[in-house]
Amino acid sequence: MPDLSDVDLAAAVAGGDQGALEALYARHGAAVFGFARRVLRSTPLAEEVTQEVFVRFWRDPGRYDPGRGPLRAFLLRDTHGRAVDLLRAETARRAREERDQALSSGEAPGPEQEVWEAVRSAQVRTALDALPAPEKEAIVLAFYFGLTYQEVARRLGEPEGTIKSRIRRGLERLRGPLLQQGVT
Amino acid sequence: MSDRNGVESLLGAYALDALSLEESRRVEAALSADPTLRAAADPLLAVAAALAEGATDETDRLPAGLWGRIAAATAPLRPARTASRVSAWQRWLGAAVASTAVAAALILAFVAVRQHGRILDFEQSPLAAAAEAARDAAGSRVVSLSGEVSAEIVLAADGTGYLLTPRAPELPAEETYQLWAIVGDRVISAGVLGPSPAVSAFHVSGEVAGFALTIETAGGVVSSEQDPVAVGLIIG
Repeated sequence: MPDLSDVDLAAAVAGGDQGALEALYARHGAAVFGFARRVLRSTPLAEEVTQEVFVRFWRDPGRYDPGRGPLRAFLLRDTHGRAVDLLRAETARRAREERDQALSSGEAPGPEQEVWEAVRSAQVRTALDALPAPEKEAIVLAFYFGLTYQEVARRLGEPEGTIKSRIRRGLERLRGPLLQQGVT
Repeated sequence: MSDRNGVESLLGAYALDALSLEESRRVEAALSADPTLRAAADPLLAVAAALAEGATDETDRLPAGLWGRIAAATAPLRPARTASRVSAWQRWLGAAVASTAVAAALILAFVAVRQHGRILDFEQSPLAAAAEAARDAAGSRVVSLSGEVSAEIVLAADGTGYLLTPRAPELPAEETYQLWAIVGDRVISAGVLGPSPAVSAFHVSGEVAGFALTIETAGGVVSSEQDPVAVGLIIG
């Protein structure tokens, strides 16, 4: 079904067409898997998240509203949510602690380096770099490291309200550079 | 500060999935009820999607076999909109039976720790600790359940199983999660878990082909007519 649009394929999935789901997997699966792997730093966990994202879409395709954005953005957002859930779950807690320990002891690349390894798009790097440093730091720790804003506040020694505000302002600043250039 | 203002101040963190579970639920309820809040959130969600897109590239490759697992999990789950729920179970059973021999099974015991809406309870639960110990033991198998709800089962060699659902959505008091084990061509209840299970333990004998999780009315049922909200087959 290479000629069908994402919206057409999503409608076919809603009708129970597994071939349409396979076509969407072929089109967006690599992006979903790649993004999950960069957030989780784990190939097995990224496979688990990818499977879950597509099964969830099959089970409830009505969660996607074409009027609110492209399907790929919807799938990537779902991927982030599921990846963050896993990061915060007990089963991944120990691995995260080990990673954090390695980070603090200098045995592993620092957060900044890890993020730049994760962020592949020059446009996104440029847009993030243009932010005031505190806003960039809060967004990077929350989004690419899966921390809650409370955890970001504790890590940076700042009030929670300050971190919430920095995240909000930073996202609003990113809106122009990212959305006008059509990153999504 | 009004609740609307409180929710609005959380929208940026919500867009980045940087809220606690409780806060996320509060924001989602507000977004469903308030179109102006939804309109404020959508651009932030679009930026988050752009940040996600920025972490993908053309070199990403899909692992071999991953589609096969998705296909196995989706084909029996919702075969057709017109099919009856019993038919959905039968098809799902067919996939499970194909991978195992028929054998008898008996659920011997069942205990559960409730979520109480807090992951902290899960982390401190002796059952969760027992599940982690079982995970590392020789002969244990780990089964991922996928669907509307994600869950994981650690099945020890002696038939002791642990169902881990630390982030399963909390159900209304009149509903319950129920776990089912597939043994041969039979579906056997492995436990009525309550509306907010975090970790549950059970014991099963026999060759288990897979597990399913359904949502039932409180108290559970002897045989389910509901589509599973999560399934996991044991391959090989």
